[in-house]
Amino acid sequence: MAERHADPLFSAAYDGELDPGARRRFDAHLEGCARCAGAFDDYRTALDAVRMLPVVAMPATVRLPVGAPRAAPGRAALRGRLRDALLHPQPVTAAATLAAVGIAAVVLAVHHGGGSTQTTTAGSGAMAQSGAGSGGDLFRAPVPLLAPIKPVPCPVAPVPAGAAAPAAFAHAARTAAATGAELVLATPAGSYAPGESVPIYARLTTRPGASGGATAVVPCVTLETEGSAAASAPRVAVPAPPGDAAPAPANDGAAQPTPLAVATSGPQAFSAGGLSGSGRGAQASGPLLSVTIPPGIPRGTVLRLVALIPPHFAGNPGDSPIQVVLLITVR
Amino acid sequence: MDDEALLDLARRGDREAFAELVTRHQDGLYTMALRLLGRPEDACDVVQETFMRAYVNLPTLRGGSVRGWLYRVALNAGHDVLRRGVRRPEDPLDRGDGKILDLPDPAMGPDAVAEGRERARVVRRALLALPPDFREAVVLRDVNQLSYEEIAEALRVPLGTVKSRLSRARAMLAEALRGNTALFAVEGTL
Repeated sequence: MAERHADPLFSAAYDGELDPGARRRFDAHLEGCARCAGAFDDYRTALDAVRMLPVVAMPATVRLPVGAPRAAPGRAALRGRLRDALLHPQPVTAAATLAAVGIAAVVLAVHHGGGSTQTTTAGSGAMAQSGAGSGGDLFRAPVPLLAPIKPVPCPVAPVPAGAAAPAAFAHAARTAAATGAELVLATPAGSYAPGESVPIYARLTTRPGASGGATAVVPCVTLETEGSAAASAPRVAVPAPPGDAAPAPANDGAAQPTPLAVATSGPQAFSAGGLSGSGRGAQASGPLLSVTIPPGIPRGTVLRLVALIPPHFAGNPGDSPIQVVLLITVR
Repeated sequence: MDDEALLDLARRGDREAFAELVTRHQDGLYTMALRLLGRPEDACDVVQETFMRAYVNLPTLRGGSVRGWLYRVALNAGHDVLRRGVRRPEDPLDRGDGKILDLPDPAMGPDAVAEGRERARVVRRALLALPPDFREAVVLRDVNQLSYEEIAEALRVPLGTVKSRLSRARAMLAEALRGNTALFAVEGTL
C-alpha cells in the first residue's frame, strides 16, 4: 500500500467495512500520503453531503385496489401445471386435456407478450397497472381491479390571501393544523343529484384572520366514495381536531375510499346547489372549484369531499398532511 | 412488528398490515425515485405503481427482505416510467418544483437558506449526472441507506457487484463534487 494509492479502499473505508488489519494499514497509508489523505477527506465530505439530502415525504396518497391481495398465477406456475398435466395425466377425456392445454397456452402467450403490455384501469389516468417490469419474478399480472386508481392528485395552487367564503357556502367543515393554518371546505348544500355540479370553496390559510402577510392555497379536492358498505350509512362531517391532522386515506384499512373525480377550478356555470347571487359574484376572485356528481350513483349514497394539503407542500411545512372531509349525500 | 411479519399478514389478506408497510416505506421509496428520476410527478408515479404491483403480487413473494423487494419493484417501476416518457432525469429545481419539496428550516437565515439550496442543487445534479446503474447504487446506499444485502436484492446482482459498483459510483460522484467541497464543509441539513 505504501507504493500505491488507497483510492480503491475509500468506499469500504467510508462504510467501515475494512477488517481491522486493513483499516490499520489504510490509516497508516493516509498518514504518510498527503495526496490520499486529501482525496479521502474530499471523498468523505462529498458523500456526507449526499447523505444530508433529506428524506422527502410522499406528497400524494397511495391508492390500493379494494379487496384482499390476490394474484394471477405466474408464468412458472402455469408452466408447472402444464408440465404436470402432460407428465401425469389424470383420467379425463382427451378433449378435456386438449382444452386445458389450449387454455394454458393462451395464458402463456399473453404473459409472453412481455415487456410493453400494460393494463390501464378505468379512471386511472396517467397511472397504469402493470407487472414488476423486466426480469422479475413479479410477472405482469392482468388482474382486474375492483376500484379505479386515482392518478397523482391535482396540484396545490396559491391564491390571494384574505378572501372569505361566500355566505352561501353554509355546509362546511374546517380543521386547524398545528402550524396555525386553517383548512376550510364548504359547499352551498349538503345534498346533490347525480350529474349535478357541486360548487366548492376550499382554502388553506396560513394565518386565519390576518389582514396582511397571510398566504393561502387552494388544496387538491377529490370526490370519493368509501368503497364499502359503510358508505351507505348516514354519517356527519367530522373534521379532525385542531392540531391533529386526519390520517391519509391510504391507511384507512378496509374502508378504502374510491376516488370518483378531482375537483377543477375556473369559472363554472353553477346552475344548482342553492348558490346565491352574491355567491356567484365571488366566483371570479375566490378559491372556487367544482366537481360533478357522477351519474348513476344511487340516491342516499354518502360521498366524501376530501381536501388535502400534502406534507411539505406550500402552507404545510410539517410531516403530516392537512386534511378535511365534508360529507355530501346523493339525492 | 417487523416488515416480514406485516408482509405475512398482508399476504393472508390483511389490508391494514399492507397499509402499515405503505406508511413505513412510501417516503423512502419516494425519495429514492425523486433522486433517481428528478421529477416529483414521476416519483409519485413510481411509488403508486410500486405499491400496486407489490399488492397484486403479494401471494407470489417468497423469501428475501421486504425492503429489498420493495426497492426492486420500485426500481423496475422507475425503469418503466423512464421508458414511457423517453426523457432524461431532471433536477426539479430547474422548474421551480424544489420550492415545494425543499422548504427551509424557518430558523435559518436567508444566507444559510440560499447556501443550503445551492448545496442541495449541486448534489442532486451530480447524482443525476451519474450513469443509471451507478446512480442507483449510490442512491440506495447513501440516500436510502440500504445494507449491501438489501441493495443486492434490489438490484438483483451479487454482493461483490454491489461493492464494486458502489465504489465506482462514489468515486465518480466525489470527483464531480470535488470543486464544491468548501460548499459542503458547513454544518446543517441540505
